[in-house]
Amino acid sequence: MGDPCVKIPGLVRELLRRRLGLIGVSIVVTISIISILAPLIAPYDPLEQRLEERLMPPSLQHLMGTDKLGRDVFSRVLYGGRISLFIALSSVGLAVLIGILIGLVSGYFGGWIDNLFMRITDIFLAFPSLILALAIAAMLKPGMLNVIMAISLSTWTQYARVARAITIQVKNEPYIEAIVSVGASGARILLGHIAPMVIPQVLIQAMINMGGAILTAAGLGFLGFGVPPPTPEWGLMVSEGRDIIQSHWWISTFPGLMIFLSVVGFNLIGDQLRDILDVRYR
Amino acid sequence: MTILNYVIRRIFYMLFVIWGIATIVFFITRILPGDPVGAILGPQAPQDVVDKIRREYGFDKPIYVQYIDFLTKIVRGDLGRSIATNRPVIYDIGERFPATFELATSALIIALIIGIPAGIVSALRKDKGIDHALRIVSLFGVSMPVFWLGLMLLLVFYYMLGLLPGPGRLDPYIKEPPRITGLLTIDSLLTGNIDAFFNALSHLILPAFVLGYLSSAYIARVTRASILETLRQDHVKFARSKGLPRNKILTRHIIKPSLIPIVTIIGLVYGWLLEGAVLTETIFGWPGLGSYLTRAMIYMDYDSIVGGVMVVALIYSVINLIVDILYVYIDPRIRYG
Repeated sequence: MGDPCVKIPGLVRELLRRRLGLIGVSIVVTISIISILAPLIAPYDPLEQRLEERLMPPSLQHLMGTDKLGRDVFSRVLYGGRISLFIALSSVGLAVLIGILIGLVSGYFGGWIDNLFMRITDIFLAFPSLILALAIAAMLKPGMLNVIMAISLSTWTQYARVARAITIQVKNEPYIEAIVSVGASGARILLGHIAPMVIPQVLIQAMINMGGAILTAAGLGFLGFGVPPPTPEWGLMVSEGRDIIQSHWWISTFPGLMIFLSVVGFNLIGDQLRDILDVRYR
Repeated sequence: MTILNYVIRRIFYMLFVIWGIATIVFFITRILPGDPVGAILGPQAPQDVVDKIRREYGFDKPIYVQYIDFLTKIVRGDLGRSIATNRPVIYDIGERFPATFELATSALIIALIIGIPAGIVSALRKDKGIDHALRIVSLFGVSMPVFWLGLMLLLVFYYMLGLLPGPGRLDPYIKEPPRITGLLTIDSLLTGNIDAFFNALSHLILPAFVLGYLSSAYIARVTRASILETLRQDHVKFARSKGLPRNKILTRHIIKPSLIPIVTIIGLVYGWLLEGAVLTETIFGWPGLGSYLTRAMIYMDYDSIVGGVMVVALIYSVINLIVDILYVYIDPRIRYG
């Protein structure tokens, strides 16, 4: 690993200069704006059932058709963005928080704390995180908070590893030694001098993983371990149209397309970030 | 250090990791609120029946007693009993494992067939149109929700075009070949049942393609990076200046040394395949470990969840161990550390 110091503004500028990065950012920004403005854009109430208009194919009146209960799929897809993006953002946020705390402590203090932590990460790494998230989500009652917890509890180790690696690297820099010799306290060194180096790196890692978090959340929703109906969540919406896909393709297709698009956006950004940093490290 | 020493040490570490996974999942199932007996019997079940079943499965005991019971049973190779099927978990898993193995292995083959050439072409034509196109195709792969891709392919190839069969491993009118390996394609060939072979193969195509395409992206990325790395090395420059024919440089001096890192990620990819299998098997009605785990989670079937998770962790660890050992044979520079 090269220079641990990453300057976020410079990185963002570089990202926007690259065509694929710009496309990724545009997709993510567009979907975010649409989701935030959903109440203004959506032609119908996403929960309103009009049984006389059920299972209608896409038309000018209902751009993406209607579902089994006569709800407007387009409006539900718009509102779904709020739920799905919120889950992804907060589960990654929580995982990052846990990861930074544990990584800092474990990297800075070393010894048995670090040892214990490394063994725990080994255990987590030996296992597909989706299955762990499923197990946690299945045991908790379906609900937004529980989905967020399930995803972050099964993915925090990735961030903790990054945080720990950077902490160890920075800890051995001469300037930290200088601060120690001046008599700075452990907390001050950790929070004032090491954490500022660690946080940007972990945030980059988080950005790279955002697409994955959306997919996991959607997968949980699809299997019925996510947000309970009638909440418009993209994964759940795909599953709601699954059994009648043969005759009414639009119910599952459009929400899935939105999951795909938003993940493409985040992955474009993530790929470019990885590219930029790789070049810098070489 | 000798190979034997290394392998023994790795096996012990593997056992530790699997114990860790089992413990984590054990406590997830026991501590988090979830009532398996209630989920199976429904809310109207009389209390004495519920209590009786709770006692039968030991759910009435304190958690640490349950945990000790669980560990002593595992040592004896007993993964407990499924509440949903009322059979030993190990039996259920043994029955379903071959289906997942057949699917994941076919998917891995597809992933390699797509991923390696794509990575090679991408690297040799770096930043040209084809490189961008291939990278976008693989970006789409990693960005696609597995369950949605599966559903869309079923819609097009099964419901609309009728080219490929629907969910399941065999059409209902085909008699299942006698169980030898549990892999339907192999078993039907072994018994000379050509109809069943082609039928099983046609059922494999869609789910294996879904999983294979998604994993091919990662293989392509690693191949591309590895070839680019090799291209920069002096021995390639030397081979060029020596005037070796292009094809020979490409196969012997560029592709061959570049493929070594790919072996190491096969273990990782296999882990993803197992993960992807959970959702893919659900879509394609594939009676494997993935759909077993999903069902176990819906019914909060504790022993099945813990057992299934342990088996997945075991497969994943064993594959990674084999890959690490293979790696040393392929690349003599690497020594066991």
